[in-house]
Amino acid sequence: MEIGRPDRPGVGPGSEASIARYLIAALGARSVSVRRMDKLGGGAIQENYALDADVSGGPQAGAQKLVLRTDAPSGVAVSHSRAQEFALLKAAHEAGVTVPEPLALCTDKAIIGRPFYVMKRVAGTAAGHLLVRDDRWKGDRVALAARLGRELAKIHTIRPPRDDLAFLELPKQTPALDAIAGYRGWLDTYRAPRPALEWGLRWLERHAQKCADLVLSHRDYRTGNYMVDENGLTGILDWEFAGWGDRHEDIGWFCSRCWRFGMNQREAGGIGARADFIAGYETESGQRVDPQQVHYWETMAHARWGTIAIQQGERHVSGAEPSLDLALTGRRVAELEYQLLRMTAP
Amino acid sequence: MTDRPDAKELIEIARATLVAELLPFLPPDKRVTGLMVASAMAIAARELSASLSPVPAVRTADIRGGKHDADKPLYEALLADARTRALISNPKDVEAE
Repeated sequence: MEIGRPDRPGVGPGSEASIARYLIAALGARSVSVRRMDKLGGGAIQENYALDADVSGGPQAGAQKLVLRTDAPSGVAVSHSRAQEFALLKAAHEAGVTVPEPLALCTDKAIIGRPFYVMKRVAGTAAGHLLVRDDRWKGDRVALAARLGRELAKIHTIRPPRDDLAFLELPKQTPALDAIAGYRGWLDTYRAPRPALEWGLRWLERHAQKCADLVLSHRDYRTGNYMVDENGLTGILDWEFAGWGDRHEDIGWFCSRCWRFGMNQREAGGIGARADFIAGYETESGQRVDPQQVHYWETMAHARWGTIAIQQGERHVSGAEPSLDLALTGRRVAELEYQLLRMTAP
Repeated sequence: MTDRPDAKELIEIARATLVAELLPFLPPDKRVTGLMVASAMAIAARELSASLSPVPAVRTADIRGGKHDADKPLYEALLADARTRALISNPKDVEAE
């Protein structure tokens, strides 16, 4: 944790008072005192802090359990700014998606040195390796898989054009071809060729279909990015990659083998049956899911995750951010390339 | 000449000691970090005893341009190479096929 000093604002001991002052104005309160602020684990791209605050006056009066979310020192280049993420969270909240309620956005760097936003804290855990193995967290696995399908369908009710989401670009070609061009563009900047990824991307280019209608794609809808407690789902997290895309992209990402945390027989994110997840989606959306398109995007998931794994590993290898976690993520590229090749035989 | 124990043997005994004697005493919030250290050491030890055969020279532009779309030998070579690397970094995932 950085130490917040008067000459260099940051998050840490000493920054509670300036955050409290900010919250008085942002929440329309009479007074706010921050009782506790602890860094939460898990964010490679963003940092999250648990914030317990006593709020007097205004619509949020009372003891509030909040999360403050801000940028990590270095992040993956494709993620949105915190201001954009806040707009996405608000749009999702208004669409009836179960998300932590967004409360206030601060772009003034004088408070903690970086932009941040504050949302309500939801209960439970997001840890994928726990959710797939520990039955304490599941609620009911059939219900959870169906619920996650329904939540995704609600996200996909958000469609362009939207003034509040004007920062999201429309696809230049199709969502799939844009993704392929993006990964290739990054691979061109990498120091060594990656023929296995190139093979997979070529297959994806040859098998790309037209996208029938554009929806808001979460683009990181997977186990590890939603919170669950003993009773079930409490919130969909991590909106920083969302964009206009193909509805099958999120379904494929959620079901792909690389996001089952080793529980390969539970094809819906390692937590449930694919059929339950798809049924939840189809019931809520009234749209039929095309299994072939889902398979296509599951294949894309391996190309995408493989590219991201190299990027994460590079953050360590370059010396910018020495980290065992990032180093190990970098070495996941082999298993991702291997599965990608298995899915793309000539 | 390399003295014994060699690099692989040193990593293996260091890892075995970490797992048997230190991991049980780590506080719960450091357990995942301990497991990650053990995992990194296991990958390094496997890599030191692996033999990777060279992948055929292939131009990225030719793959993108479609020259290898039906190139089974290239595909098989890439698949074998990726499998070997995955067996180093995550053998459990490969064996769960």
